[in-house]
Amino acid sequence: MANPFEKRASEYRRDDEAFLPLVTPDPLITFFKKHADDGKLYDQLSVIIGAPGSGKTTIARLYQYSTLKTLLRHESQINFKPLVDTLTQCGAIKDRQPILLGGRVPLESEYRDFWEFPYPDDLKCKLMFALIQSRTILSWISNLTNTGVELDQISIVPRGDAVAALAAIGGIGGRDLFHKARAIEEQIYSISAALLPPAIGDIDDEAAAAYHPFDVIEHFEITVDGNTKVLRPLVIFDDAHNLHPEQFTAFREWLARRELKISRWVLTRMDALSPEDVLLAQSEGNTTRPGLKDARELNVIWMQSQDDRFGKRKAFRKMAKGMATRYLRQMDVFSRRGISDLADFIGTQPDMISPSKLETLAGSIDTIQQKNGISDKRRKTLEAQISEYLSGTGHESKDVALAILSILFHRYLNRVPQKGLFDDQEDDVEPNRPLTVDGGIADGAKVRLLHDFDRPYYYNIDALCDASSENAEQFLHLASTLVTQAETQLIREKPASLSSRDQNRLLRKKAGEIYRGWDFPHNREVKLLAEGIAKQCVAKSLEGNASLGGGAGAGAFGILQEEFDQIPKKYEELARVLKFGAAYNAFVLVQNHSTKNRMWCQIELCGVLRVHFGLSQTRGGFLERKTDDLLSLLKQN
Amino acid sequence: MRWDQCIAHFGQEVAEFAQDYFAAENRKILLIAGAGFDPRSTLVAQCLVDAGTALDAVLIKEIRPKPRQNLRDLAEGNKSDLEELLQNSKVIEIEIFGTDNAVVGGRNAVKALHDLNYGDFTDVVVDISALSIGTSFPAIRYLTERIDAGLKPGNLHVFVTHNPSLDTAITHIPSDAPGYIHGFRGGTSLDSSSKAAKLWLPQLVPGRRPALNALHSYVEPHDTCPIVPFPAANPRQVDILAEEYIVELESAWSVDTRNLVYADESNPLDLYRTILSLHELRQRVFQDIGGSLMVLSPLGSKIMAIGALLAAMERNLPVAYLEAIGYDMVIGPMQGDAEQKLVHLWLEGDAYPQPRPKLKSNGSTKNDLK
Repeated sequence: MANPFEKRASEYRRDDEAFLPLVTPDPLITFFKKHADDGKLYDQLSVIIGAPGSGKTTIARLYQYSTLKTLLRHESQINFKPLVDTLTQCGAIKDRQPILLGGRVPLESEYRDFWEFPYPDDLKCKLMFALIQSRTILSWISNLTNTGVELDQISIVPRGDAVAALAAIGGIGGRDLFHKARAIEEQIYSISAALLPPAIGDIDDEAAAAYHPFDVIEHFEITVDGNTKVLRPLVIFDDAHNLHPEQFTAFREWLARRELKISRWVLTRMDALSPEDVLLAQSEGNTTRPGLKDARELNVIWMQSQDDRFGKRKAFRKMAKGMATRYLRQMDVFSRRGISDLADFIGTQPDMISPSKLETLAGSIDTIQQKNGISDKRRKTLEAQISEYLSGTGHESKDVALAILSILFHRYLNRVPQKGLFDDQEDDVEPNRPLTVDGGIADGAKVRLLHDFDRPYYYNIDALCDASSENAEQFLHLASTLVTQAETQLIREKPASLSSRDQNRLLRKKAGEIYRGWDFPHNREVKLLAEGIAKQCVAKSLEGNASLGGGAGAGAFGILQEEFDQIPKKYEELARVLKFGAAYNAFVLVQNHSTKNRMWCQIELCGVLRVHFGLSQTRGGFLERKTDDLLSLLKQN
Repeated sequence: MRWDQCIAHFGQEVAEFAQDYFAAENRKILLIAGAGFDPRSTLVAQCLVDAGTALDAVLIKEIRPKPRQNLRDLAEGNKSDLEELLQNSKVIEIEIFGTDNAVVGGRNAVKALHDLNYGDFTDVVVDISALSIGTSFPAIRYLTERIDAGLKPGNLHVFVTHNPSLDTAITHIPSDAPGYIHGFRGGTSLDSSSKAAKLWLPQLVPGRRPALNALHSYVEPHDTCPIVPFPAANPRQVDILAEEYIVELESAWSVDTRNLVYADESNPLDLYRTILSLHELRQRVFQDIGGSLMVLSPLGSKIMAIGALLAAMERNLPVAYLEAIGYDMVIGPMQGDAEQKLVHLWLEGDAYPQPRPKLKSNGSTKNDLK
């Protein structure tokens, strides 16, 4: 049986019946419900921005009319109730019936080609808009006919002020609309597909120029057996980042017009936005959105916004676990044995380091103690503190206890005056600030054990979720390696469970593969920045006293916000690299983060990079840096 | 089949044919070749010059963002060698990517070729050894359609230097934007094709898994029949590929083991005939239930790519491709040409009886070509 984790299964499940069991409703609640409640989701142009793998296309497919019909048809057979309820809350379904006629139109490179034509911009736009509208009509009609509706049962209700333009779109009947749309599509396709674009004088653009169904249609009606159902048309333009930036702007302005009655969504990666838009507008709280600033006309939905990060991480963990369960159910090897949860075979107990390594660690700590004249009494006090902390966590482990002791020794030495040559080395001196043991120090100790003794650090389901940086595709890629290993073990009649050591090894290997496999624009420069940041963060994390919130939290560079805000204006290349880094999940830009009474922008490494380079998944810690530091990392190119 | 009886020469036969044909006094040849880092850039030109051919040349330099310095040096060296070898030559720079990283190379190549004057030439020779697929396919299609429309030049030849080990040594750094090669969209995006059963024929190549996976996601085929080289210089090549692509074959693409397409690595016409046979069979099966659509993805050796090109031109098949944003090469310049095998195909011209079987329309009007 194929491992659906290998490739995001929702991408290649052609049938809605196979696709729907893989869809989890949580992203709709997280990203869409608020906008549906505001009434903006269907009234204004909604621009939905997300990294690859954030679930844009899944949502687009879910909102198609034929998918909604399939969902409702099987509602009672399969457990689709949560999905139906969520779509009802989001205004796509009412009284167990779709009220939207959703049609997805992928904006592939074909549309970008129009920008290469040797024609004036307005003609290029005119041709592209006509092609887009004809394909939208065809998509709406296809969604209806796929659910058994006949062409003659379909009609539109035109806007009152659009009677004159009605003839140019074929009329109000479904059949006429369909044939006109096909004719327009083929007419424009013959121009765009040609090896050489025809001379401007040879283009018959009159039909295309008059073809404006978006300006004509108020809503659709389906009449079956005398019953008429009204549907509000929704067009979902997917992959709009394929358009040329100028083309994207024209396209967006064209769709943002208030007089349009149809609902329209544009789904795009950040590629389509200017560096300024990406770098300065990721926070929904930020009202200055250059390029996207006309907020009254646009409803912008960021699928990776930096608001409520804690809540989003928690929500993602829940969603990812649900998604993994749905995927595991597709695999006979697991379902035959009643394994439906990743947690069933992903162990949570850490493997300790080997006795010989433990001895080496203990020896190194004895050396620190002796070399610096730390009294046995002080050591016992610290050991008691550590023991108390670890017993409270329920994870008592000798290697972690020793590593924490090492950190506490270093901190102790920083907090007592340096001893003179003739001082009694056994004297115990009180530190100027009390030493405490907390989760940060324990985390720092575990990171050090990972680097020094290869003790597993990345294991259990939460670590897997956190390594995914709230990206569904990233989660599936990482999980695939664990699932494949467990599957192999089952096939060999061994238990499926994976030790923490296996998980750590497999996840780090996979993270390395993902990192090396980056192929997005400017990936070389993004790698330079990422590696530079990671190396300095690793060095900081491995400092003896594990400073910076326990030492493990260093996974980012922090630039003063006012300095960061200047990057798009002053450093075009750096801005572009940061934009693509953020767009493709290499970095997370955490804006307006308050520390030491100043505002910072954190350039935070994504989970996969942290796993690859051996950094903590704890967020928040950063190294204070300047723009020049980023530039110098890029100069190594 | 338009090219079933295509005149082809292999290895030593190529030099003999060049002496007999191209060196004739009444021949006026225009050579179109790549002037890139590929060590094979100069071999065909050298062969024609050695044969005593009167040549004009257009050297296409493909410009990609931020090439590695070693490749830039190699390209410069090859360009100088070619300019020295070919007295009447000019270099045309073709931007492969637009400012927004969109692939525009094919369109630019056709535009550049359209601007040339073919009136003085009896034959055009396209050497695709150092040209990328995204450039050479539209270029050859443009020239073929010109001749098909009765325009000059009268004869079209394609040359390629076959060297599988060198192909392996060149690493492609893929862009992230799969698409159809310019002029090879084959009506895929039309509503009339939306119900067609889509079969994808990717050419399996070592080290191109990410690119082929990106193409699979892009094409979204109903079925996949990977093309593997057999017979091949390395008889175990199919096993090696099966091992590398095991996850795709078993899981992501769900390929039935009976669905592998075997094609002779050294003869482009073998793959051409196989694709056309498949096309015929599927047309009959699917004609009443939405039709059949075959999508090609020739990522491997140039020889097999020519086979795919001929089939795509004849039946207007779409060609999905992932353009390389850059290259890397793990070996230095070639030590000699012992491994090189020249292949020549006479695609159009005096050798064939008229009228020829028609090319399936690409949507372009013949007037555009004038």
